[in-house]
Amino acid sequence: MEVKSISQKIFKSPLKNQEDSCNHTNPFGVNFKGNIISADVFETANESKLSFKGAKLVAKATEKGRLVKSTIVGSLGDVSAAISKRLDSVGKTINEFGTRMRDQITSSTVYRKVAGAWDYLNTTNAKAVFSLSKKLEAMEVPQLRIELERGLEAWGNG
Amino acid sequence: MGERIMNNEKRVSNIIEALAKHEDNTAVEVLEELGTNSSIDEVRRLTAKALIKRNTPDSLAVVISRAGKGINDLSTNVAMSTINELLALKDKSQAMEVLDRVDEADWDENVKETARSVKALMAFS
Repeated sequence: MEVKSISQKIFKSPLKNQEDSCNHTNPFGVNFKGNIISADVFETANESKLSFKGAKLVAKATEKGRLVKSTIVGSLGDVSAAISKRLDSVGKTINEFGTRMRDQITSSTVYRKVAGAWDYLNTTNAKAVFSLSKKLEAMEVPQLRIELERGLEAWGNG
Repeated sequence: MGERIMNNEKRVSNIIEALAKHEDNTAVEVLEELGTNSSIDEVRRLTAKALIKRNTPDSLAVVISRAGKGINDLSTNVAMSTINELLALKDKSQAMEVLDRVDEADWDENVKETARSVKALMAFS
């Protein structure tokens, strides 16, 4: 064995390696501890190897870096904003409903309507409605089904 | 003519109520098939209200976990009315159980989201 070859082996020159290995697979010229890192290292994560549900998201995030991460965070923010907006609109509607109910109860027009309803109850029409309810309560489900079908048809055609 | 229409609507309302009160559980199937699938908003609203008043796991599941029905109705008025009825329940335990199940299981994402919102409201009511 020649001395030269031994010295080359002992004293490995990173520069020399780089010159020798200069190729298109290491466009950034990155080396780690004197060893050239090939482009294989920059390969994106194989999604199928990742077993959890967020695999695609993670693969995309790691692949494209900060821009995608900020987009994901932004869209999560949109989701939470959408939920908050829905909750707000639900809360607002319920609040409006409650306010309306309170106003109706405290207003004098409610009492007049109630009084009117008692008058209505004494009419023949109202009696027919209430007696029908008792008959309905005595029916079995198949019979009620037929009654409901008829009623809905009449309502739809009315 | 107007009076007849009003009486028919009242009659349908009474039939729905009679089904909701019936001890036979097949009444829930009838309400779901004919009531919640109706093209008439008022019918769907009355049916959802009746199913909530019945307050059983089966009846509540119809208005809570089905896409396009009850709290997920495509009509905002019907959906809001259903939510209000749920919030007005004296005994909310069954409803909370159904809402929990929807949240945990593999349901449609919109259905889960609405269930979470309603669950949050019920916790505060």
